[in-house]
Amino acid sequence: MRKWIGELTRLTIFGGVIGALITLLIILNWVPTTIEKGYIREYSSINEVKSALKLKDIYVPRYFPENILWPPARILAQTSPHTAVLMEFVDKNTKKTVLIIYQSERKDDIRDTKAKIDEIKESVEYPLENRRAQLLVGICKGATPCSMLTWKEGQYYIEIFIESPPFELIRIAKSMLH
Amino acid sequence: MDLSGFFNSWIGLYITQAFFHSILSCLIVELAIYIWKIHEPHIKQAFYFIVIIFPIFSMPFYQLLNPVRNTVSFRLEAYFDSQRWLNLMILGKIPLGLIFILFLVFTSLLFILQELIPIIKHLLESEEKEYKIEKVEEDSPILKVLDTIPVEKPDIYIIDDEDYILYSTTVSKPAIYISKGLVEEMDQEQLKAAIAHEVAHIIRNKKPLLIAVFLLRILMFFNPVVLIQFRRAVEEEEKICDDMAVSWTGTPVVLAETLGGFFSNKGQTSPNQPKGSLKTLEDYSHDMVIETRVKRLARRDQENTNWVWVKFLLTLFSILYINYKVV
Repeated sequence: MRKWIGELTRLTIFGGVIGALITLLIILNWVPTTIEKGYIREYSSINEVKSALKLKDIYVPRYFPENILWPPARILAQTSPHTAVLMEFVDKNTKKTVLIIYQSERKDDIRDTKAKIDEIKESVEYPLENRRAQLLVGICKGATPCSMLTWKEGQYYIEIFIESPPFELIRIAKSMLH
Repeated sequence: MDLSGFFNSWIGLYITQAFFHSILSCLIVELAIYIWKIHEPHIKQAFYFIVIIFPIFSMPFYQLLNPVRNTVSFRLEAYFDSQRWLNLMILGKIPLGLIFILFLVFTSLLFILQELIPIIKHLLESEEKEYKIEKVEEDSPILKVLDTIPVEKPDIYIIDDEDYILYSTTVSKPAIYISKGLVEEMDQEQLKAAIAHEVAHIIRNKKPLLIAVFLLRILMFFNPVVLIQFRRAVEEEEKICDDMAVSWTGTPVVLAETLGGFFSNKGQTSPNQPKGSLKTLEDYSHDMVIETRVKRLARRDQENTNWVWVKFLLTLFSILYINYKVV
């Protein structure tokens, strides 16, 4: 009996130590954000991103298809190690993410895989107001048609992903150009 | 490619996560060993193997499990995102990531100099060096020692050298090599203990788990945690063989005395290393291992083997769970 109690006590101690280790990791994860304010985090509005990170050029469309809800449902932004802003917009009815706008100083940045075309049907170069853009048209999860447009705008690489055919996508992109 | 680009690449992600996963695995394993008072060398070795093998496969395994694990969204929810630290600038100039890479380069050099080159050198030397080696004659008292060890008898060879040399091979036919100096210095009981230990190595090497782990460990050449834990696993291997030898001879004290003869400043006749000279780091760590083994044989710890598999699986599960959320 004493042996069993001893083993159970040690088991409890082990569980407690694992809990403490997780807490320590969370604290260690938080420390750099107190040193470097520009590390990626979620923001509640575009204005907050502009004031907190002192970012001037945030590319926001002036045109939105009717089904898309403004403001963005989710905004992630960072200035360290490089500047990047990600905005997710949802459908008014389904509340599902249907439009993602991503701007980054790096081309090889790791993106969220929500913006992923499962089967590319067409890949063409598209002239976007004197800019060379790449247009991808294909099928996404659940056999939904989707499209993606990428181009270089000043210091940023911009990527727009929409769960719909490319017509609306191009209108959105054109409305973003300064 | 700049530094943050490297840490975002697959190879950068792999190296970084392997490093942090091994640190955490090591910490959890050491805590488990301490809390559960695990002294059994073969159990401890199994725990160390987790630290050596797990980081090799952790990142690809997690990635298969969840392909979005490297995305920004996942990183924001993680317990620990290494990139937060690696992108920090020291004094606003030097990225911490650069120091991290230099540290890994240093470890890689250590691996090459302390493990890879010595192995290659040893292989070349053993081909070149012409020791005078003689097979022990059938009526030799050394062979009588083997009669009391209840296992298949290996061949025994005497090396014509005054230094303390004792090793075994299992490449073609199992054989034990023992130097003249050692045979002359040891009494019958000590010789029996020493040979029993080598026989244990021969038996263990028939299932060369440690060699397989070493080959896997080479993949983690840059990882200092794996370097240390592999050495600890090797130490446990020695203790396992000590226990096997003691189970045949029944004389732990004699084996402890025999081991005492293998301290680095004993039995050395090489003019390059006179007695009392400053110990090298290698000699120091060798002596530490011998000392631990001698003390252990004298102490004979109370084994705690209750619920071993439960403890092992709980430790493994904790490692799997925590590291999943460490990117």
